[in-house]
Amino acid sequence: MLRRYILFRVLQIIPVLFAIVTIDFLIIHLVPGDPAILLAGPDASQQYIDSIRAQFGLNKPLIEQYFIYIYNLLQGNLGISVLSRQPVLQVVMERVGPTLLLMLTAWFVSLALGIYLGTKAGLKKGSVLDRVLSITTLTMYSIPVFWFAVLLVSLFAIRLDLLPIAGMVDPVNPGSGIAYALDVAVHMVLPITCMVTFYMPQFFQLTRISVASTLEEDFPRTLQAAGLGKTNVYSRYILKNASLPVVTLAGLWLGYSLTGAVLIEVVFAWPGLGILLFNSALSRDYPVLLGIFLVASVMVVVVALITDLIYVFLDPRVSYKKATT
Amino acid sequence: MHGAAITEVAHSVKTRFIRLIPIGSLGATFVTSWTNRVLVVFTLGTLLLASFVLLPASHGATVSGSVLVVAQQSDPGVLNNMLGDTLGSFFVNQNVYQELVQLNYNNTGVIPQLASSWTINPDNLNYTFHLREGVKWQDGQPFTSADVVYTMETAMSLPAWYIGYLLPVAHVYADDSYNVSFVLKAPDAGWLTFFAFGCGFGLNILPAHLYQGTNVTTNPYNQKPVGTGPYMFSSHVPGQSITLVANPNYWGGAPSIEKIVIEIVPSVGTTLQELQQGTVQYVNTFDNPVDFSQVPPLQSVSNLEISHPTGGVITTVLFNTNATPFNNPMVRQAFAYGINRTVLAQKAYFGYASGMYGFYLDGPWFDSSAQIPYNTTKAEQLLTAAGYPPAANGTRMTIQLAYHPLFGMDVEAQIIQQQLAQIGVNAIFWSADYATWFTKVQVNGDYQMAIRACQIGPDPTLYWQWLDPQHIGESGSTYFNNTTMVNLFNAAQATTNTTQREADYNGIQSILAQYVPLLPLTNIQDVNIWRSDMVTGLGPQVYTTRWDLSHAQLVSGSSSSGFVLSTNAILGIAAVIVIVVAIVAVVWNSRRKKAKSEASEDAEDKGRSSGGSPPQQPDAGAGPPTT
Repeated sequence: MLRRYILFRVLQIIPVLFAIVTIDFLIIHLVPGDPAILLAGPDASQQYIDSIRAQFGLNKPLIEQYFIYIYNLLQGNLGISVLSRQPVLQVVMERVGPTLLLMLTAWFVSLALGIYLGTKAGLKKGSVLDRVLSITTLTMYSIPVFWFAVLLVSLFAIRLDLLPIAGMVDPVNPGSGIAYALDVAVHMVLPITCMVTFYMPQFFQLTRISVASTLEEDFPRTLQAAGLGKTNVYSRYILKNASLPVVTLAGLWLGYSLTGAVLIEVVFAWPGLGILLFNSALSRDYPVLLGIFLVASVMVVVVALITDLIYVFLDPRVSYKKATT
Repeated sequence: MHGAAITEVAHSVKTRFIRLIPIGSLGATFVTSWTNRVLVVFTLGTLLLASFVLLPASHGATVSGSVLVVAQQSDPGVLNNMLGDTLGSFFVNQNVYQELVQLNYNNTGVIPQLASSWTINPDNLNYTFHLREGVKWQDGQPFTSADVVYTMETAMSLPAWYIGYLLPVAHVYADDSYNVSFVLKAPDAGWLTFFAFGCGFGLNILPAHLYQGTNVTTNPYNQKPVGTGPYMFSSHVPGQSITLVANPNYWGGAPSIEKIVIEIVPSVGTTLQELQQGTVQYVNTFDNPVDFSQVPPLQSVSNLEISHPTGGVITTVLFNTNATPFNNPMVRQAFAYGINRTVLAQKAYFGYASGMYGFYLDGPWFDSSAQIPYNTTKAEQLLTAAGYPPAANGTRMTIQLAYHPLFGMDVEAQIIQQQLAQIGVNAIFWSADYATWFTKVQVNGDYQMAIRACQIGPDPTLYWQWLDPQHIGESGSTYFNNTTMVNLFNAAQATTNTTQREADYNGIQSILAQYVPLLPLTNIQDVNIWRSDMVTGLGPQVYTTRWDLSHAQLVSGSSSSGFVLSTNAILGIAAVIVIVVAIVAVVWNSRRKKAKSEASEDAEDKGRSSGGSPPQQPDAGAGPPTT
């Protein structure tokens, strides 16, 4: 039954991705602005604009462009970037690494801190510790990220000259091997701090609330009455039940991670997908935009699948329900 | 309340009521066995490693020696201006490639670059350029007339955006290896200036031996240019940086700075911070659209030098002369009287622009008699006469003002809105990014009043592209078509007599002042900011190639390298390590404590069951069990 559920969920991905590609394609082409005119420049002749349109297939009817796109997509061809005239897959994939590095690290730190502090506070709801943590995290959550970034930079980079302001590596001496990795690590400190400040409070609040509410249910008392040890009750039952919404949020956030940090990437000049998305949108580079959306959608769908599968382990009802329908 | 809470905390600490460290516990709920734990660690590790592997590898041997770091906003797709790319390729092209001729910064004349001299036939039809001899491409091949002919013919075959500069040219041919002739379609006195200006925008000479016989749009050298200039292309890491190294065989003498790193920084605010930290040493507003409000505070920073020469870029109002109410010239005139351009220049550009009351740039071509001063009384009279008397609430009309936020025009729009309100005009905004704005205003002509920036100097020939009625739908979208003006432009272009040209251009300025199809607002300055304690020899050199760094020198003793892995960096790394160690410690601790507490609780449970005492309620607020 479990196997059937998993198979069902995996097969579901195909129509979902198809729908996403269709909607992305339509939305992008509905936005006013013409890449050919932008690429041609302010004083271009109509002839040149037409030649660019023909080169990128923009002169065909939209529905035909759509079928050509789908046909190419099925062969693994995402098209050619209007701006750099290079394959979209290459342009997009060389930005995935830096973004994943930044987002996974921030995700992991936020999740770990949020769950740890959230459980501490949730188990002792109303205590001083809980109040202090709640107010602190709420304040952190309310700080606008870009403002906080500027603040951090002027303190740690300009005043104290401790950390680099922007970029992923030192452009002058990028180094190699361990020196390169260390250089990247140093450049990550400020952007990650900013992101953790924004995302950790969400995990904290959610964990705190769900731990506290699970604690108020009857079963922990019943289990203890039945003679189970406190540790057992907490670790195997309370936290397991409380973890469902947290897993949902963590999965959701991980899914959005590829495109979720546009602002951070722009402020810290981090060479990831966010900046590529920003620039491609401004120059109406349709193939690259579609490519980014596709990669991001695949990420969301796959992470959603993994989240659903984790549910099966956390809550046996999930698979039973699906199997009976 | 507080006392109780504190006691509670004290209790919890003392008795270790929370014996579980939550991370380990939550992990334990779905990671129960050692195999699974190893699997999770392995997966996370792989993901992190994978993202490291996916990072663009650091490449290119690190050059020791002098380095200049320059910031620019856009990451170029193609490093060849001829393909009409975004702004991102200009800086690289200006230092790797070169042009035939250039325009002197002060507009005092055409100066040689790859052409050492030129002769103009008396009929003004045939221009012959004598090429510099002994110039070599960066791959060692000699530079000859074949390269020039190839470049010009390719440019003319690609009907690109800079084609305006070559439109008067009928054909180009090589007289011999070092002489190239341009034959014009009709005599054109302004052409050389016009061409010299255009050279910097897409007419860099390309190496024929690498391009001939290939498709210029897909040639691999578009990504790794080989030129004749002072710097050679070294590497481009997309989204991060472009590196240029000095050309030791440069015909003008090897440049002093050995390496130029162009850092891609999308946020101009971040760029200015880097400038203050010293990790970036030179910033140009052409590559980095600086918010002008950010410049005045930098004036007080002692080691920053700001150069702001006046260039040929103006911001101007475009009136759609086909649409009401601007199909009435009196309304357009009224708007000219109603906008205070001096205030505009001060408030929107903090003094890094000058207000324009005439219809051309200050200088030899300026007609001082064709000016419209700021006069609200006159503006209101004109509006009333045009049939727009004030309503009871003082409003005469409501119009839409379309703008895009580049070049500080968002601020200009707000100030114009306030000024127009004083003459009873209610301006409502329509704003979007440049692409959307361009489609609405310039392509579809679906607007009433718009603001845009355009280049009209150094020679008035350039003005024509914004006024030519034949350009409607591309750049001259005011739909203003005046036969006298067209004739004057044609006459000015055909004559070589400067006095005659002046008279013709003065005539055009009078027509513009009379009909006001467009209203020049401000002449924006080119702001260049650099660390004077680190680099010298920058500043205005030639009109279009402000970014040629062959004369720049580093100040000796100054550290011009970027962020170096030093004690500072080690502190940063230490921070990361502390975080990692903390997480590991927490997980390890939880496991240890869990094992311990399980053992103790098991013992407790046994004791309870034998004693028959009721189990403690695990209420968070309840008193802890005593042990």
